[in-house]
Amino acid sequence: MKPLYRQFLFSSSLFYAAVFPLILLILVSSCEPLATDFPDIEGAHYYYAATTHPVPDTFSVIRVMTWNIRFGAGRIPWFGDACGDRVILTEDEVYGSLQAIADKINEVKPDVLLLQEVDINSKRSGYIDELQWILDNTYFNYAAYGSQWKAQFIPSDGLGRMDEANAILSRWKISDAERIQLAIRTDQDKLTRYFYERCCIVTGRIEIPYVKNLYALNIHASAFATDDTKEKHIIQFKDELDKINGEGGWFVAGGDMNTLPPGSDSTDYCIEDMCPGESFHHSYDDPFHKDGSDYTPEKHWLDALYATYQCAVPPEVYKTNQVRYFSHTTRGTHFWDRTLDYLFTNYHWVENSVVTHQDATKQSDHAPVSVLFVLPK
Amino acid sequence: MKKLFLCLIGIVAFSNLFSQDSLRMNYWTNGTAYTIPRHRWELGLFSTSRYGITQNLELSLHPLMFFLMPQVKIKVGWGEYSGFRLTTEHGIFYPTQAMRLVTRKGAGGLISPEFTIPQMFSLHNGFLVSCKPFKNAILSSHAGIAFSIKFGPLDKLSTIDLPIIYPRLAVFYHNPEFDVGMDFRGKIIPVFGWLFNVENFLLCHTKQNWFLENKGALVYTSKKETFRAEIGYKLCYGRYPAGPQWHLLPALDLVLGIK
Repeated sequence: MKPLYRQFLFSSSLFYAAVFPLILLILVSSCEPLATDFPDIEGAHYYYAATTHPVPDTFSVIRVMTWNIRFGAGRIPWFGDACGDRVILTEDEVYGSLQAIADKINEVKPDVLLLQEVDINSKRSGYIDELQWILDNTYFNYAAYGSQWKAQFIPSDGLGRMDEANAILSRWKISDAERIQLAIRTDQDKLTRYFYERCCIVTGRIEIPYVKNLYALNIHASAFATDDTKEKHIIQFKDELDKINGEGGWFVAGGDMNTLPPGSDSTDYCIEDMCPGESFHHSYDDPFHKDGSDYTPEKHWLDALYATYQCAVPPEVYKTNQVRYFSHTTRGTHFWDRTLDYLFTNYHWVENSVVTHQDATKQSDHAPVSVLFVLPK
Repeated sequence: MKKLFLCLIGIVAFSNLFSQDSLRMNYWTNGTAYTIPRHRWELGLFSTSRYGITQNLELSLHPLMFFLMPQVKIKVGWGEYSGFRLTTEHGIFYPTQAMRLVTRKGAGGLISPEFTIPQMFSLHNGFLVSCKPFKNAILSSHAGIAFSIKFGPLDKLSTIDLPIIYPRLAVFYHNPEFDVGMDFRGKIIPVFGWLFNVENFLLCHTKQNWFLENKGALVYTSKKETFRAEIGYKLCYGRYPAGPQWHLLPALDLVLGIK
């Protein structure tokens, strides 16, 4: 008989050789990276409402809406975008904003909704799954999302875990949903870039009976890039639209493009966006412009989109009354002062049906924009 | 300079959390019910350092972290009964300064600057029981309870939701915290051994109530027991505020033994 020592040696070696690697293999594969990098194209995540709501049988138009809901922060002065000092919101604050958002959605009653800045599981918004909450508190049945900013832990400003997404919500089933990666900013140091957001487009086919190949596309372009990243995003967005158009499909597309419509009277918002202690537009200021607030170099970036497809707010309509279509402001106590949110199609909008819901001042720093879409026969 | 200091502290703190424990039958006894011999020092590069005050009384603390996040423990040996050795452990932990250091704007801010970290400390008491089921192995189990005392409100959103750190600070958010676990270690050959332990942290009054850590390591010990090196893994599971998560981390340590 072997000595006890040898028996034990054998059993422990066996344990290390066979069992441990197996455990390691299982667990390495289940661990998520500190910050998530995305492939160029991947499948989007599907969500379903807790209860299915009935869908109208006969209809010839549907209402489409886009809304950047600012992760349920309402108009709270968040540190990242509003000269504020708040970082982590309480559950009560987030649920309060989400309720106001759901109330507005239930009032406007869009059939297809493009949402930007929806938090799925972020510390800053109390780890509330906002997409599931909105699904369960409106009449939508289906949703698909792609993450725009995903990190297990961001070691800066106490941000912690982050999962912010762009989402498409629909009364009808969504299929073939994809997340398309947009260009990454090149004007940041490597560490910041590692933990920073990765802008994306989310696409999906809306399965409306008797309507073939109707796609929804949702974009959130870069807000603060000081290089040509935002222009690349717009070009990539148009490329996706061209692809669908070229294949004979129809689309309703839009989102927060973070740039102004062609022909905007004011293109420099550095002074409006300036936080206490900041200074811009003086020869000694560095940077001379506030990041993300000077749209002057971007004046023509949307020209190709406008020339090829129908914008819900046609340029001639926008120019007659720009204020009516303003959908964003960085200042919590001010009225909307610029237009950043868009809807495009390669078919037909119902004329004069576009509404920028400027009364929705409490829910977000963006106003929702809705329009009626004529269904292709 | 401040960034460099913060970086060094971060590396030391994190490495300290990744490292632990020991081996050798007579001396390398951290995590077991055995105390180190009288007047022996163990100086860990990453782990806590220990000193044998008497044959049955051991003091442990981390010299580098002492001024920032002091954690002092006393281990008292109560003898051996029917092959089972019994000790109790009593410690105090003061994380306020360390937490305040990472409550900041910008890079390195693990806690949002909108939160105030009050003066606070925790007291931990536990017991360990060890036996030798085999000639060259020690099997230990332990259980303990920690209470925190705070001199001001601590916002429940100010948690650092990271493995290792979260369960060790959880007592300041959810009082009291229980810990229970086992440790199994032995020799393969005289200078090489292995270590396998499991630690559970149990919290009250919250859904984030269970955290588990499992460490496995291979250990080299010099013949004269003056040096020890450990390399292995640490596997963590926890019910964090964001939901259940697994983490797999490296575990390594270098320890100098004097006497």
